Amino acid sequence: MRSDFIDDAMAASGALIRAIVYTMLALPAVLVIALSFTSGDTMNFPPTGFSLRWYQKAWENELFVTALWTSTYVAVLVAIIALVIGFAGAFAMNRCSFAGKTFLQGLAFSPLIVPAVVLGIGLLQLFVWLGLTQTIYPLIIGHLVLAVPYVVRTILASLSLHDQLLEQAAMNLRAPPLQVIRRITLPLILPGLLSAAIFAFVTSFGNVTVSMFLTYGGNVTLPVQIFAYVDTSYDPLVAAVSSIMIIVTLIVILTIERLIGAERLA
Amino acid sequence: MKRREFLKVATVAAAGVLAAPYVQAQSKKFSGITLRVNGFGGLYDEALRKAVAAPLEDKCGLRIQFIAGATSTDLVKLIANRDNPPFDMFMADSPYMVELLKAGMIQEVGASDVRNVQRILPGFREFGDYGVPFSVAAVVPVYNSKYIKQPLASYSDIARADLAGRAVIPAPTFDTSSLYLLGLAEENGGSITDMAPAYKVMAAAKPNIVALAQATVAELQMFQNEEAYAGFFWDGRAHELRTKGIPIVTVVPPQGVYSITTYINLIKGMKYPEAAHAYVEQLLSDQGMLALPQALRESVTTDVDLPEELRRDLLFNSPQRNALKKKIDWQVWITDRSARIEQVNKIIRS
Amino acid sequence: MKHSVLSRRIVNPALLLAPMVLLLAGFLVVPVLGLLRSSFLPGSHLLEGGGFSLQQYIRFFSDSYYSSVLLETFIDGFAVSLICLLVGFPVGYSLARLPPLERRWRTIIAIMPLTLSLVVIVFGWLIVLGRNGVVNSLFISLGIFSSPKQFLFTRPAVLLVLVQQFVPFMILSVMSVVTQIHPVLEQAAANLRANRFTTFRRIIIPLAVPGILVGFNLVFVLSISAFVTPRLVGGARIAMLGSLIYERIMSELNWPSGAAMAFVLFVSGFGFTAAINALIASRLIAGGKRYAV
Repeated sequence: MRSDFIDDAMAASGALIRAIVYTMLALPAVLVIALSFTSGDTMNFPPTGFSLRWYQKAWENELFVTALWTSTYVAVLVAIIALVIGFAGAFAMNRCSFAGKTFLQGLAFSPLIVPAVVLGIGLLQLFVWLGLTQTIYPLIIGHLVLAVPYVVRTILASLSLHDQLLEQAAMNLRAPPLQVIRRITLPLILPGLLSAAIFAFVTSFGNVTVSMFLTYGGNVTLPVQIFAYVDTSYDPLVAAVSSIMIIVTLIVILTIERLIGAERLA
Repeated sequence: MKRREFLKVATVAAAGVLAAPYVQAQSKKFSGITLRVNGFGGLYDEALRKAVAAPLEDKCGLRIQFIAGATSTDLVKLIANRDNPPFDMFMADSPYMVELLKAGMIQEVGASDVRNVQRILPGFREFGDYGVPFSVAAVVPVYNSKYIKQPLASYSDIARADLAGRAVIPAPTFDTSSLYLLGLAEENGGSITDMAPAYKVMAAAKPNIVALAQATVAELQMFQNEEAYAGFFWDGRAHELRTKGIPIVTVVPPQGVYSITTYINLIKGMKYPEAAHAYVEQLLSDQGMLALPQALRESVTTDVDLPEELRRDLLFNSPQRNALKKKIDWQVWITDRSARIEQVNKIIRS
Repeated sequence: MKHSVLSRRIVNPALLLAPMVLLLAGFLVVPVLGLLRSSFLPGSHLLEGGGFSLQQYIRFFSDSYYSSVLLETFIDGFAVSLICLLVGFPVGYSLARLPPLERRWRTIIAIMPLTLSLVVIVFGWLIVLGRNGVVNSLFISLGIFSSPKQFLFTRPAVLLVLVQQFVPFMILSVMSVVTQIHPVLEQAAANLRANRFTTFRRIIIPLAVPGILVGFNLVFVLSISAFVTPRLVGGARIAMLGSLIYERIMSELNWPSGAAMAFVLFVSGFGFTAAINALIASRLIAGGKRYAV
């Protein structure tokens, strides 16, 4: 009897917490999307009337469209590279023992604790010295540095849990190592890879504080563009552009899922 | 091609009075040249693009690229990239001018380079021949007349007891909008070198101050949503609030108004000084000068004739008002900034 | 476990680690060392170079204001991480146990806040929490409040927005480990007449410790270096070290002092997470081994 009561209590409180958390998480995005369809000129809630005019304005705004493109390809590139680098690193850290492993794990984690302003200025100084400031590389490299900890940590957590018996069995059957990784290790840690890729994409796509130092004339990312826009004006155009960002993210997340999901079937 | 060009020039000529005649003579003189300017974002860049960059591109093929960013970050980028500057021209408010001069990265611009420089009002060029001023914005006391019945009259009124929990002021970290501190000091017998009276008023005003606004738009939002009824704000933004139906009253303190001037600068070693001079010329022309007042109600820096609807709204709209514009020693203001920020942080955030 | 068959047969670990190490050494360690150097400069401006001095650190530690802000920052960061753990764990757990189709959209909701520009999120919260905002209007129309309450610019508001911003990290971290805990373990426990609480305490939580720690550490370090949220939602009163560093560097252009403060935050944050990891990990993993293996 007692255990039934505890089970019920846990189920009820779990459901309540989930409802609150989902509401809390969705609220700002829902408000922003709702406001983007306003026909009025201000960001007041509730919106007055319905129109698509702010989307039209966003679409006609060359700055935002270019920035959206820049942000998207930088983020996709960063997600792919970070996944490769991060998986290799996490795999080695998890499966091999070597001196200085704890140190390396700390290193992989450290981009998170360096305040963004410090990293931004530090990278700016470095790229000036390298003579690379007016290229796209600072953005990509800066975002990679930011993405690596998420990727490494997520994959590490997955690797440390999954059972190596299957791998060993396959090795004993003389399967080539790379095939073992592709057929057994990767599919087993798939959920981890998925969230790692999404983390990396989102980190790059949404970053403002480090990007501000690394953008230059032709390559301003969307968050930086929004940040600058909001500095002088705050109208529903910002809501429309943010809604477009949400949509792009959705498309990318679903595509990543599809791609990795397809790999699982192979 | 020829005919088209001729037509274009003819149209511009017909539009006539607005454009400085000699710019037309340079027809297509700068085609193929793009100048990079740091942008302030949003409506600001939009206004300059329409009234300064677009006519110039039509007339002489010069392209202007406004690069969105925050001035402080852009300044860091500029100074760090000394040998390969990411901008050809740099827009900076008075306090940032001190940093630019210290870094030695800007050129002088005189009347021989840009004829319209002669039209700049006396007292509006704070840094000799460095920096061409094109816009002025003042930080003034404001209040919502729906809730505050007894008008504010000076900066010091921020400490009035009836404003408890209802005032918002810009964060002291902005060297621009924190000029109200200087107002507080001078209204109470202090000066730029003796800010103690200002801190005394701040301590008294602490129960009133609900937020130190970290961005202009955040403060705008607070007034618009009636989170705050009184405070210090930009005169142009107060006007924007009025157009949105919020009864915000701008106070002109009789002892003087504190304002910043925005300058355009040519970066040392930039490749096309002549093209940049043409831009500055257009910026100071009647058409260019009225762009920012029309968009944001920021005051002008030249002797341009103000249309009546602008004259009504602008703060510095007459010689009498211009006389209220306080002179500020920016060098001292910048040097003491750390101490100032620390003081206000300790008063408010503890 | 230590040296698996697989890794020994494929490649040298050094080769696998090389790209990551090079990236982080070149573009994290070098720039950070550059700034570490600037934190020992005596001046107060980015243009004044040369010399060596401990002045910046002495100034920081001799002024009790800064130590109190540092302490407050840590307390806030810890509170945010704890709340994220409490509310994020049930969500992450349930996500992991849902069928893929139902999981997809919920995951997307969970990730959504990460994709929105922070500035926009903050303005969204201003609409929710404002004096004329959604919450106040709702409570007044329900007769719970008689007049609007002040939510914005208070510490709870800052914590709330930080939790909303960072809880996705907790959810995803928990989810990715729980998916790998086989449901059979839970069924077995149920067969042994353990109630769900016991199952959680003895089996799920110990096994999920790696994910929980990842989430906790992530949220903690992100919270202590946050500066946009405290600046915009915290209004006048809330000081967090992140915003002070930002102001010192960006508004005052005082790199030496800003860099010194950043290193104090860096080192103390690192020490704190390391201590927590050591403490919790050893205890819980030991517990987990006892019951789950």
